[in-house]
Order: sequence, then structure tokens, then C-alpha cells
Amino acid sequence: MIKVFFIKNAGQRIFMRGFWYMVEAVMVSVMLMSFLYVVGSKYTSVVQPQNLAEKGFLVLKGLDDRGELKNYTVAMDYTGLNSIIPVYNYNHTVEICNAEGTCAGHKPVASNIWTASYITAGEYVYKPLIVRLYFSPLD
Amino acid sequence: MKFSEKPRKRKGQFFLIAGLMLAILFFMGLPKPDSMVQGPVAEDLKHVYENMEREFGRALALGLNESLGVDKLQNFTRFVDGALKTRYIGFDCLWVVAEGNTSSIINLSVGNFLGNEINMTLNLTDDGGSSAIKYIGVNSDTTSFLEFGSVTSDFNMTISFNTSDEAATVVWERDKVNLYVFMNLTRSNNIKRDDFDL
Repeated sequence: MIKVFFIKNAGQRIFMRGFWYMVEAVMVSVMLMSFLYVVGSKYTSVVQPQNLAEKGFLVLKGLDDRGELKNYTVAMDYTGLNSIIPVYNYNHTVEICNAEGTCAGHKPVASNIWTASYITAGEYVYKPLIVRLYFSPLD
Repeated sequence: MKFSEKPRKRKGQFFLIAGLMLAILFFMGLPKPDSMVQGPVAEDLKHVYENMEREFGRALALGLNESLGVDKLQNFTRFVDGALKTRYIGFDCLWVVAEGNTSSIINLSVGNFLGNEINMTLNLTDDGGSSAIKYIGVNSDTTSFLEFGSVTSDFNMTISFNTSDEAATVVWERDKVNLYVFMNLTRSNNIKRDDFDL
């Protein structure tokens, strides 16, 4: 305990002692809560499926290979594109954005979102677009 | 027992509570981590590169349909740069488009999107083994043009810029449109640096 020698008045001395008690308590609480936060976050954080972003990319690439992707993207048909995404164990939504930054579609409102992106130059005419596929855990 | 002699069993509880409350206020002030989960960085860059490897050729082909091949490629490069910036990916790119014609002339377009001016050396070696070298300085974010004459139907083109480390030799045909792309993708400490030709 830190002693305060220069305070002669007994009341002031008690007050200062209380102040240092509180400082000590703050320090102990910060240390304790930091410990709990670090230890707790290890067990409470969402376990990320490492391959989900990759899976999303491969899904979009696969659709492009089969000639299905660009029909939807050029038409900005995010609903139609989302309906053919073959992923069933996650919620997913699609957003399509053009060169002007105008986007069609939805970004999900969820605490954890995984994103995969795919850029296309166009189909029969030059029309650059970016397709974003969002995954979120099932409700 | 006198009042003053009472044992003081709970003398620090208010200080402890106050301390705990201050500590809670401190933690409430900490920024909340971003809930957006991203994939592993290195994999992400690999996918972007794979995506670009497909789409650069398409952008050029679609542009050629409108007789605006190089213009559209330039536009696409800028579009990609903007799109990748939103993902915190740095995108530097250099491309060379070679368009031949029946009069044995090759027109070259060099797009420099590396972020700095470059000095390029283009060394063309034809079927017969004869070679021609041209040097060109290209400002950042611009496209420059040059041509080679008396080119045989198949030829090798060695493209180098800035240092001899950045050099590639491609085998091209005069009577078609050829594309060489060098790309440098960066995010944090991860780098994907590669080139391809079509």
C-alpha cells in the first residue's frame, strides 16, 4: 500500500488512502477483466470455416464455367443468381455492383458474414461488374 | 465493546465496486472488432489472380468487338483497381497488347498501371532469328503505342521493364491479337506477383 506522508490532516489522509484503494481496485479489475476477455474470447469467437470464402469463389467460378453466371449478372438479377447458388448450410445473398458503384442486391444483417467476390468483364458487350456472395450462419 | 473498537470487516467494498465500474466503463469504450470475416489472405490473392487471368482476356475481346480493345482494357484495369481497393488489396498492373495485320506490322499498346513511370525494352525475335529492339518510357496510368515492321507470322517477344528481373518472353502470332499481363497483388504482407499471356 502506498503511504501518503505529506498529508497531516487525518481526514485527508483517510480520503487519500481510499483514493489509492480505488486505484488499486481499478487496476485489479482491469487485469482480471482483461484475463477473462482474452480467455473468454478464445472460446466464444465464431469458429470460421476456413474454406468458406474459397468455396464462394469456386461456386461463382463454377457458374461462370457453365455459362450461367453472366446471364444473371448482366441483367443485375441478384435474386435469380442467388437461387442457383448450391450452398444449403448457410444463408446467402448476392450483390451485383457496376462500374458506377450502383449495386443491386442485399448484404445480410448478421453478426458474422463471409464474403466471396468475382469480377466479370461482361457477356456479349463490355460491362464490368463485381459480384459479391455473402454467407451468414443459418438462423 | 466500544463503537470505535468494532472490527471493520468490510472496509473496502465501495472502493472495489467503484473500481469495477470504472473498469467496465473502460472496456465499454474499447472498439468492437469488425464482424466481417474474411478468408485467409494468401488464398484470397490467389483467387483474385485466377479471376483476373480469365477476365482480362475477356475485357480485351469484348472491347475488340466494339473496335475499342485497348480502351476497354484500360477501363477494365481501372475498374479492377477500384473494386480491389474496397477489399484492401493493392493492384498494380502492366499489359502489352500486340495486334498484327497482313502488312507484316505489329502494333503494340503498353498500359502502365504500376503506379510509377517505367522504361520498357521490347525485343522481338522472328522466325529467321533476326531481332529488333525498341525502348519506350511509359508514364504511370497511361497507355503508349509503338510498332514493329517486317514481322514474320510467329515471333518471340521479350518484354522487360525497370530492372532485368521483370522480364518475360512470350511466343506470339502476328495475325492475331496477343495479350501479356503482369500483375502485382498485395494485402498486408502477402504478395501475389505473376504474369500470363494469351
